[in-house]
Formats: sequence, C-alpha cells, structure tokens
Amino acid sequence: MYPDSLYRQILDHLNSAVILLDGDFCLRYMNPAAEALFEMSGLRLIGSPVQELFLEEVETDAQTLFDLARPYTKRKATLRLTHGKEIVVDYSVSPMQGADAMLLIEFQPIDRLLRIAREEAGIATSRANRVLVRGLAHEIKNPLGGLRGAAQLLARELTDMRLHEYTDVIIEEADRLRNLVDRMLGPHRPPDLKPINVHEVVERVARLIQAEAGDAIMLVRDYDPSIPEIQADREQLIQALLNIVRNALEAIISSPAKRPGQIILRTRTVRQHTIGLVHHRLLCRIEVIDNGPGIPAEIMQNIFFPMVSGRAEGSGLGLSISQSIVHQHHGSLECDSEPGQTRFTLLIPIQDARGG
Amino acid sequence: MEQRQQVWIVDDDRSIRWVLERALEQAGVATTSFDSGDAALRRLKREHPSVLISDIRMPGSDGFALLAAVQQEHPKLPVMMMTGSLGCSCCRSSS
Repeated sequence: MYPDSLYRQILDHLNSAVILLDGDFCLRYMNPAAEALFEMSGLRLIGSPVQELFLEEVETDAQTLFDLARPYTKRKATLRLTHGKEIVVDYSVSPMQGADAMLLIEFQPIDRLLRIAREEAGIATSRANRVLVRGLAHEIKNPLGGLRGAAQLLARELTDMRLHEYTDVIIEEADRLRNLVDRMLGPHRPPDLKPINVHEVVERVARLIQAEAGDAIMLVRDYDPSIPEIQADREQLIQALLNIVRNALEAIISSPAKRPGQIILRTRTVRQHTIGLVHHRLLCRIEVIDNGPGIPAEIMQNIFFPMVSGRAEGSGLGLSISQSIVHQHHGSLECDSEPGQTRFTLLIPIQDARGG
Repeated sequence: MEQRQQVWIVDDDRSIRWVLERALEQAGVATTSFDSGDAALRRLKREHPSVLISDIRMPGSDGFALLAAVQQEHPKLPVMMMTGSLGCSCCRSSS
C-alpha cells in the first residue's frame, strides 16, 4: 500500500481541478488546481455550500446522481463564479459510496484550452506574417534602390533646373515607399533584454499620452507596485505600449463623445499562465482599457495585421508593430472589445530567480 | 606601368548594378559587374580589381561568404559591403 501522503501529493499536483462534496453539497475538499480555477482559497471554503464556489445546476443533476449512483459527465458547462466571472468547463461527477455518500467532481477548463489554441494560431499567423513582410520588403527595396539611383543619375544630367522637379518627385516618393516598408518590418534589432521596472515604461507612456491628449481624456493609473522587474527592452516596450495607448486615445477622440473619455492603465501579476505552449510561473500583465466606441467586429480578427486600420487616416502599422515587439519578448498581446470598453492585454513573462 | 582602376560590382539586382555602373563610369572608373558572389569568386582566381563592392543578401554565396573568401585569398583587396535591409541577420561583425 502507498502512504496516504502520496495520494495527497498526487491530488495536489494534478492539473485537473478536483473538488469533493458531501451529501449536503457542502465542500469537503478542493485541490490546488481547483483553487486556481475558482480563484478561491480552499481552506476558507471547507464546509461551505457549493454555491459559494460557483453557480450551476450541478445540484439538481447531483441529486439524481446520488440516486443513480453512476458517474456523469457534462461538456461545455458555463459556471458563473461568485465574483461574476464565467468559465467554460467539462466536468465529471462521480458518486462515492461509503459511510458518507460523497460526490467527486473533476473539472477540465476548456476555455483555457480554447484560449491556448487561439493564441497559438495567433502566434503562428503573426510569424507567417513577418516572414511574408520580410520577403516582400526585400523584393520592394531592391528595385526601389535602383529607381532612386537612376533618378539621381538622371538629375545630374539635367541642365534645365526646372526639370529637377520631376526627378525630385521620383526620389521623394521612392523614399516614402522605403520608409513605409521599414516601418512594416518593425524594430530593426532584436530586443536588448535588461531588468526593468515595468512602471517606468507605463509611466513614460502615460506622460507622453497626457501631453498629447491634454484635457481630452482622463488617464486612470491602477498599478500594482509590487510587480518584480521584468526582462525587457525598455525603448521597444515603450514603443509597443505607446502604440496601443495612442490607438485608444485616437479611438476616443474620433468618436462623438457621450461621456468623458477615459483610459485605464492597469498593471498586475499573473500566476501560472501558458503562452504558446510555454508555461510561465509568473507574468506581468498590462491592461489598456478605453471607453471609446469599440473596434468594429469586421476588423476585430485582423487588427494585428499590418495595414488594417479602423481609421481612414491610420497607417495600420501601430498594433502590428506592438504585437511583433511583444512576441519578441516571449509575451502575448490580445484584445477584446465592445462598445464602451476596449481592452488590450499585454502579458510579459517575469523570470524568477531560478530562471524559469 | 599604371594599371587602370577597376571596380567590381557584385549584386543580384540588375537595377542596382546598372546604377552603380553608370555612377562609377561617370566618375571615370571602369567597372565589371557580377550577378552573384560565386561568379565573382570564379573570376578572382584569374584576376582581381582595385576595389570590390558587394551586396550582402544574395542567393548562393552571399556577401559575407564572398568577403571571407576575399580576405583569405586577397587580404589587401578593399571590399565595400552594402545592403538595403537592416535585418538582424546583417548585423554581424565583418572583423
């Protein structure tokens, strides 16, 4: 026989969330994965009714299950947590017979799996995107170099100064195209990662935006000052965040205001999160939330592609550059939007002392 | 006997070669062009120019491979490298 402590250890290390309910549907046990899933501390909740944990019709199902005495699985159930958040899970209920009838419930959070799948697809797309842009950039820049050079040589031959106007146009437009291609390529160099305080970056962006916006918006700072230093390229991260916040600012300014424009800059730590198959113990989350009109549904899927913009005068490069910088920091950048609330969530892993 | 200044131009892009040829010829410098590093390396076995100008990103032997071969066989030959792409792959030391 194995010692009891081993069973306990196994439960503690499971990735599946496991809870145990007694005959009155009160919580008898929850493992750490369940604590993480429900964002609750198990110790505090032992003995509490299951409704303290989440709201779903487990109860009615469970009564029948007690009677039937056989396991039951439900797919894609939506559980509403007590603080309002909803999670989508598959769960299995197994009645345990014995002196005390008990219910063992295992949860598989599928929104997490869906999110990981979506994130991976996003990272793969943006990688393919970069390869395409790089290839295209090379093919465009070479002939442009020839074009510009030929115009310069032609200008030298022209004795009539009035004709220089023509070659000037060719040269200027060639330069304009080259600048466009350079900006599409994003940062020229790989990030120079150094330990930095994330609030240096956020505050710098906040001050720049405040200077640009003046009284047009209210900037709300909601920082967690205890966030450890992150490994990042300060200048590049400022650029990435600035593009996002400027985007929020422009969205607010360009829409007829029903209420005062507001941008919230929020920083938090996040524990145990997977970005593109890599698991991180600790991450830094920066959220940029604006109360502008929201991103039109038809461009939402493509906002991180170069040249996609909701504004007629937008270059459509800002968010694509931000995303490319964030990916080079092994982080993720996501967006969800509805009218009145658009949220960009930037995650950057924090390396702990063990180098994990 | 003074040998006439010869500049070799190595670039896979026709329009860039054309511009360099014309610009140098206008300055009275004779040029020979190659569309690949390999073609230039073959010719280098028989003769060599006063200066060699090469693109970096090319199919076959790229500019760095050409530079390494030239430094090996003709350490005194001045080489100018040029590129239109500032990608990180080009930020290598040419020692």
